Amino acid sequence: MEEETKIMIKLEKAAKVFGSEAGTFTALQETDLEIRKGEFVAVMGPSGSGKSTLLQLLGGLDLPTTGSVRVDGEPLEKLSEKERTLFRRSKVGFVFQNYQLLPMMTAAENIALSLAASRTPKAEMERAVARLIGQVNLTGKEKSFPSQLSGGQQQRVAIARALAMKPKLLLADEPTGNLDRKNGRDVLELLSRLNREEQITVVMVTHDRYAAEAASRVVTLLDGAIASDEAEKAVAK
Amino acid sequence: MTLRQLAWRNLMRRKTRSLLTLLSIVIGVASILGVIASVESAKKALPQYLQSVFGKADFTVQGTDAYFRENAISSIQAVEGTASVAMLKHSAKLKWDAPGITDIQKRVDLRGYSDTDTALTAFQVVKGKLGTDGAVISDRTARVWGADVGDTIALVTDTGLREIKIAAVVRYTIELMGPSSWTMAKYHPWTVVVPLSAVQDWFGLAGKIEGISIKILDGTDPSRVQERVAGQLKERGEELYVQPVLLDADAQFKDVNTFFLALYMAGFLGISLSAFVIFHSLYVSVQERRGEFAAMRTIGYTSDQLRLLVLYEVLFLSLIGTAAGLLAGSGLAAGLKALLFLLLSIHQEAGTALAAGFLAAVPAGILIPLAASLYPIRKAGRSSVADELRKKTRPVRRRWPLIAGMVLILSGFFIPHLVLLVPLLTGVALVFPYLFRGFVACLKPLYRTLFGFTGELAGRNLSRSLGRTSMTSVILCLGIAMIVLMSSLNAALIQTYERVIHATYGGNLDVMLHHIEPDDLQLLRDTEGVADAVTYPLQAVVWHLNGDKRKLPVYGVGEDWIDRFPLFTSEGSAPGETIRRLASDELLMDRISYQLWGGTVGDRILLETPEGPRSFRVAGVVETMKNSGYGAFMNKEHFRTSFGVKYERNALVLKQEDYAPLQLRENIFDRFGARIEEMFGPEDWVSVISAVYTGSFSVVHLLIILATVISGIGITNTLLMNIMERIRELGMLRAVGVTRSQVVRMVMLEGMGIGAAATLGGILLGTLLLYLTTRFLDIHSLTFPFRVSPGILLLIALFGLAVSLTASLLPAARAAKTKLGEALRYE
Repeated sequence: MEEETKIMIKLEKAAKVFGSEAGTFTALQETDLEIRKGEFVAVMGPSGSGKSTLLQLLGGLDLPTTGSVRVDGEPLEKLSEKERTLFRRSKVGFVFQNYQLLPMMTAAENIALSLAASRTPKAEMERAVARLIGQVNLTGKEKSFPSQLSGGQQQRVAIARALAMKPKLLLADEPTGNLDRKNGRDVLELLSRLNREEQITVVMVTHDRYAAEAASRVVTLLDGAIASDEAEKAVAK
Repeated sequence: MTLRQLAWRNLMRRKTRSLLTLLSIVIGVASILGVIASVESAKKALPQYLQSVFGKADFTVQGTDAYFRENAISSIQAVEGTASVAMLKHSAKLKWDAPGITDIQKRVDLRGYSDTDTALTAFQVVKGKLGTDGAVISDRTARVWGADVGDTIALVTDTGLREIKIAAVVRYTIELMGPSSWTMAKYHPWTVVVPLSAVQDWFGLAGKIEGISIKILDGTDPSRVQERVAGQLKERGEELYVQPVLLDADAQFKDVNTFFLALYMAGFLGISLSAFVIFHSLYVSVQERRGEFAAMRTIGYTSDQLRLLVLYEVLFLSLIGTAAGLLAGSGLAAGLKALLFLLLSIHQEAGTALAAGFLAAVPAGILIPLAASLYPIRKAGRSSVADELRKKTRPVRRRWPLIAGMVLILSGFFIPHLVLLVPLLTGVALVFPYLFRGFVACLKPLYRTLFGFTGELAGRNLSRSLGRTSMTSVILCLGIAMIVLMSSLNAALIQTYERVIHATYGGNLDVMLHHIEPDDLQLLRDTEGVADAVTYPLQAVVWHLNGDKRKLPVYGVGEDWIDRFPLFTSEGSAPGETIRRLASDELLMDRISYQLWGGTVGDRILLETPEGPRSFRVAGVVETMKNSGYGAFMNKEHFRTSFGVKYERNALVLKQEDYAPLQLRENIFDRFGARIEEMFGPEDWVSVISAVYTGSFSVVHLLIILATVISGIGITNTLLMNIMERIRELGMLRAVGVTRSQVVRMVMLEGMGIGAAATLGGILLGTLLLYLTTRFLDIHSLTFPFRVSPGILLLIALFGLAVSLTASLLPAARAAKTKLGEALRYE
């Protein structure tokens, strides 16, 4: 039981099959996976190996065709659509390759998005945004629109947005994919710091071996199945 | 793959959008076909119908007394090449024992004909046989009474209870005019045609008739016939005279044409809005495929080929849309025709004149989408390869639409004709994007305050793709403006009529008896509820006007009572004083006949009198709504000497204050019984006018609402495009915890924002249109005050918001159902 409370993610025979008129396609074969609280896991693999599908299952954006996905003890497949949304809002932060910032909103407004969606009082929202802006080193850029920020700055805004609801789990899909090496390194350092200092579990999908080095554990997928799981790296660390 | 195949696939790629664009073409084509075909059918049928109803006879013979001897008909039958029927009318009361049916509802106009089966009666038999000793009733009356051929009609007459069997049921015609229900029977009597001898027998009028209708048989010279008939009548030595039956089809059409113009404009609005949607849809489609076009050019497609590709897409849409529109339009045309026939009281079977509609709708359905697509097609061929592949956009802000729009709007102030709608609406369409920008700026804080997070997002989203969104909004705005104009005009017309009718009806009730006996006036004055009463003579006189003959109703007015029973209003002096000043050969014309005449006060008009044509000096012009505002007024004493009419038929009644109008009618009917031919009050006239105008406007409204549906399609289309464009954003929002219902609310609020701008703009524009049109519009020579009803505006505002709300449902549902995984992967 005590062991259970340390688990952030637990996949049991979770599989995802997509069906279409042309036939079915198995994006993720029956997979068992455990990720402990506070881990920083990089998921690697070639295109079409099932990385993004796995990330979507973990974030409750999609449901497994068979098997179960538990995140922080919640069996996602048993939650309603609304419960999954509220679960995401309170427990999961997302960071995307293309940042996905709303172009008509300032950096501060983008960061406050999920706080606003959950009707957080204005004063509390302003305090949280100020804290997050500082946390991602963007002080002074609060009123800048995404088009006025560099790629790295935009990604930091996206990370701050993901952190706004103080999530226990941060899911990052190729967070450095659109960034140059320096900006990429800054973002990885930020994720590592958050993992280390805030004890946030981070699952990061990446193609980039250099980026994966920031993680304490590397799971490699191949054709929808786990090909390797370098969990011992974390133990060694 | 050929360009045609590629174009088809492009349409199939965005099925919903293609379908919605197609639907707007279908509605546009259908409204053009529906309007033209139904109006053409009505235009064709109306003269034929008038001819068949009022033009069955070519002449009538009338006497200066109420009745004359029946054997006069034998003198006329002696004239070769004619057919004739003698007629005697009388009122009776139906013996009908049913709870809740009062005496007034049992009034029956009996028409005694010397023959019911002639070219003059020309009844269309539904059941039974004509030319027998039985009664003839209309199919409408048979339906309300539940009567059939062979059933007996029981009538209460002055000489006791009379019974007659129904010999034939015929199609409804003006001669057998009757109410459509027992409720309507409170206002109109039933009509039954019976043999002449029956009326003579039942009412003690043996050997008497009151008129003879004469029809000239083919190949006979009408003027010779008239001469010979007049000669025969002169030989008899009685005071009889022959009058031609006049058909004023032009006069009938005078107002109908304004109505038809309004219908045409509503149809035009339909196709214009459809063109807007097509333009908009294609423009956006070309804009969002700029990258695709650029890529195609890199692999060797020329600009012309790209233009051709878009042209094929438009052609496919317009051909399919036109074909479907013609089908839908045929149905709409049949429905509209039925409505128009009902409104114009055309009781005649007639086909729908589809040919003219097809001739206009087919080119419109194909050419208008093509014309609307010219600019997008030009754009498709111009896409810059380098810019597009770099995803560079060069926003261009032009000032000319604003300036051109302002000029067009201003020009509307100087056009005193309904045509002003064209520059005004075009001008507003050009200026609208600038106004929309301002509107959204004001809406944002309101949305934020009212709807919080979703309102904030919706407000900001409205600021994006401003061109597209404002164009969608302006389409709805134009539709709403037209609704405001038409409904406010409708209300203004009815209010004005009501005011003028009450001011010039001559009291609270006009009672028409067959003829008024010397004691009748006192009897009427003694009736409970009557405050005062007077009688007046009226004659439909033949008026020689520019070589034509027209009928002009002339009223004999008493100078002693006209101020208490005003039949008209005159400028400068009270009606009594005006009448007193008239010489024996002078009359006053109302504004409609005065305009028709085209002369000036002081000139003379030529009227037929028993002594032949005689000129009368027009002493002035007055305002009236008596007899739809068409007639002339003379001093009663001069009227008698001029037209030789020895009897009067009409009495004007003033009711006691607080006495119920319907009770007053019951009392008068109780006193005079079957002798009453008609009782009509100002409120009846108002209700008839209201029904006709509201009916007419309803048809126009129907078309405009149909056009507004196209606007709704535009909103749906735009929101769907917005969603498609922002699908990754939606995915992100859902990923960070925005719920489905928040997404639904956000999209709905965007749609409502478009609708709110359109509604506000439409109400303002409609009010401006109303102001401009009331400056010059005159119907029945009446002008209308500029007045907008807050109630109407509120209803229209709700309608506009309802349209946008409904139009937002599909996009909102789509947005809510977005699959997050797919949305986040979408490029």
